[in-house]
Amino acid sequence: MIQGDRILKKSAEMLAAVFIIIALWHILAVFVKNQMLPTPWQAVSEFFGIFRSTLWMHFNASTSRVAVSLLLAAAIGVPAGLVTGREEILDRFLSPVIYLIYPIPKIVFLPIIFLFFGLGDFPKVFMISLIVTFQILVTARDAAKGIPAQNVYSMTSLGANRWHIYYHVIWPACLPKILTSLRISLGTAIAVLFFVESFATTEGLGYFIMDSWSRSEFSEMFAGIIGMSVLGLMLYILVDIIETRWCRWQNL
Amino acid sequence: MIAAEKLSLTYEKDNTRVEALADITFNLRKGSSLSVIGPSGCGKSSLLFVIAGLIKPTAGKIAIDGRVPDRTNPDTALILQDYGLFPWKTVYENASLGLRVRGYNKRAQRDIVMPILEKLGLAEFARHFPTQLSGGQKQRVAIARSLALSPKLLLMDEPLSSLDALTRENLQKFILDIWFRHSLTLVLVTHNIEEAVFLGSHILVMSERPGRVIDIIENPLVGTPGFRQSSGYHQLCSRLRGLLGVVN
Repeated sequence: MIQGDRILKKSAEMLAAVFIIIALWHILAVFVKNQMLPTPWQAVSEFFGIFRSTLWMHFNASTSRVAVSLLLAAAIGVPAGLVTGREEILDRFLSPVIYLIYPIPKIVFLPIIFLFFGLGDFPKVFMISLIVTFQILVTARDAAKGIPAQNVYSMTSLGANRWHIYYHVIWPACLPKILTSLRISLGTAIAVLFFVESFATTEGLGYFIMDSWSRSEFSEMFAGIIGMSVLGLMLYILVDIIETRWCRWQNL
Repeated sequence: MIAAEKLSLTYEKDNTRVEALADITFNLRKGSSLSVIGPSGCGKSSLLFVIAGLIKPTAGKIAIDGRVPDRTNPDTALILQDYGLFPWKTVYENASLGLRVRGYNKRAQRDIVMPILEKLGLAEFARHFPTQLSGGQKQRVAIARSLALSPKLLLMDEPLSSLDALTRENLQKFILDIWFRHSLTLVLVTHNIEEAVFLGSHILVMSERPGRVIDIIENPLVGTPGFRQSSGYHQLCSRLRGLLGVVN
């Protein structure tokens, strides 16, 4: 019951926010009076108009690239981060390496990655994962490091082995922070997606936006931008759902 | 039950050597309760961790039922200062955690844990999370978790230190009751003189760090009705104050 009320309230807030954004956009479009900035009405009707015929295909391609990249990044970054945070020997070896690699803008390796892995989906997914994995890994590591020794003591005194400690203590304790890092990574992932999709492909929202732009089809371009936003929002909501289900104790 | 002989413990902390315990010797019979009292930072908790098998002493010998303490020994249960409950687990999940890591199946866990929760007045909170409970309730969950393992030796590290006076007295009675009913051997670390006297059939008084044994006092009247109001209780309290250097 309370859960339902909360969802209803959140939806109402979200709707209000959408309304405000559309209103602002409309005012701006009317003021600027430039065909590069269509009104929200034009853009949204274009979005629905071409969604089934063309946009759907690009939306699909982008969604699967980002989803696979994030899953891959989480599957590697979370366990690696948690273990690095808990096992001191590993930390001593890996942390300096991470420290050096983390600030390097990995996007600049895109030409090399294209060279090695060709022009298909894999190099795109690889690039996004490479960047995002580090963000998740560093957050997970720091979260795992910050777990009080008391928590571990109280688990060992119950007769727990190392696996139990990871499963019952380290993982649930770090999960809220991991989900936060996932949210931040989501923004990064979509930004990188846009960039990698503007090269050597004819599929994906990035391509669609750049292509519409080059053809001066600005309504279409904005339909692509809306598609990108919907993609981000969907994934964001997904993380929220995971959080309410798995971290119920956090929102009491 | 517990035989400690010339226990010493030193450890490194921030590159300095800390001498936590020195020459601790005592014996505790099965079914007794030992209050360990001393100034803060005197190594009381370290002593408890040594008994629990979480820390190995640097020198000396300790045996529980003739064996070296081992943290995986199911006969020993430890309750920590901040209750050691996990905020991400419900009351029921916290209470059954010890059984779960020891490989009991779901049915067996339920059959053991639910009656204990009921007895401790926690059944209606089984699906609550620890943050939804009061301090006294949390402490009872921690006790439930330990009792679920039906230990023979229960170790408690300042279990009531963060509770208000009223809850504290109630839980002291409660602990006494559990000690009797489950015929446990109890070791309780505290910095509260009244608590040490109320709960310990033996009271081990420790010095400042490195913790040494100043005295071990027998307290045969523990658990007798009206003990808290008796003159024996008050005399023992003032004796402890004297030993600990508290000026009256």
